[in-house]
Amino acid sequence: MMQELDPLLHSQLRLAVMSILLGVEQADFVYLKEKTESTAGNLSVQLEKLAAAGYISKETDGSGAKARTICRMTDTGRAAMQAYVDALKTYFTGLNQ
Amino acid sequence: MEEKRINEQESLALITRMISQTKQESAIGSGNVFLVWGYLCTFMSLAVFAITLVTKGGGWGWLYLAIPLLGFAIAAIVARRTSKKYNGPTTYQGKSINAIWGVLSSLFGAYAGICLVSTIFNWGDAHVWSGMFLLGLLLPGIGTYATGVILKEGQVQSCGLTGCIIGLFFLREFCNSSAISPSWCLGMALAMVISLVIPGHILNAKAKQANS
Repeated sequence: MMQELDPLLHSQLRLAVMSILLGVEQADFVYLKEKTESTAGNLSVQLEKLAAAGYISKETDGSGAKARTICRMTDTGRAAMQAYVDALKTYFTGLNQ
Repeated sequence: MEEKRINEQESLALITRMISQTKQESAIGSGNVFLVWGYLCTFMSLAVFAITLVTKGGGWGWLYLAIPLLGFAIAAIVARRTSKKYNGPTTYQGKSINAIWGVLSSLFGAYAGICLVSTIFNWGDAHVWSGMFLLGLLLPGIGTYATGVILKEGQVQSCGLTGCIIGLFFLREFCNSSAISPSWCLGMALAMVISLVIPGHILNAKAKQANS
């Protein structure tokens, strides 16, 4: 039976961010912006949504023009990604039969 | 990319693409540190050998102590340039590799400290410094092998292992004769090329290939 996919993760930009953070310990805002080819404003909004859900943590390193926003995936985020991938698999069961 | 819903197939493809792209890019610049230390140790070894041969005098082995001073300074400059050019993420692999090299460097530094204290307090003779030579032959090979295991790079592992084996031959020779001859500098140069220079070029070539 197909499971419902987490609506917070089932969006192109948020899922891309979470997938990047899955393989690294931390990544900064500029790196995420480059890799997802998104606009700063849009990425900022989506990061806020992920942070509000507790999926990622954000912290600012440095101050002024040199300040970097560093993002990390939390344990909650990791569990959510695991559940999302598990749910995703249910959509593909039967392909090998 | 933007905020839009995607279908299940696109989700799967996106997760796979992002994970694989991040993994490939995380290796960028990792070979540079190997090259800095590798070339520095190789050139210093050849220089000590040549100077000793020309002057026919001893004591030139102390020049090796310039390696950590020059190495840390150049490695810091290279690391700063790489981070300016490439604003990459911090990976678990990178942290593990840094931790391994940190431990090995600390061992080397700790032994140097012990030798320095020994020399200052006249506790043993200058021969204790010869141990630095052996550590310099063995530790880089161990570090390179461990790096190869973490990065799953068979060629890098082989280079590290070969470097360790060369070091073992010198260890045996040292225990047998307790003396270091100038020709050891050539052995050191060879060990550094195999343990550090070749793996450095391999890592950079693979990172370049992955990024193209």
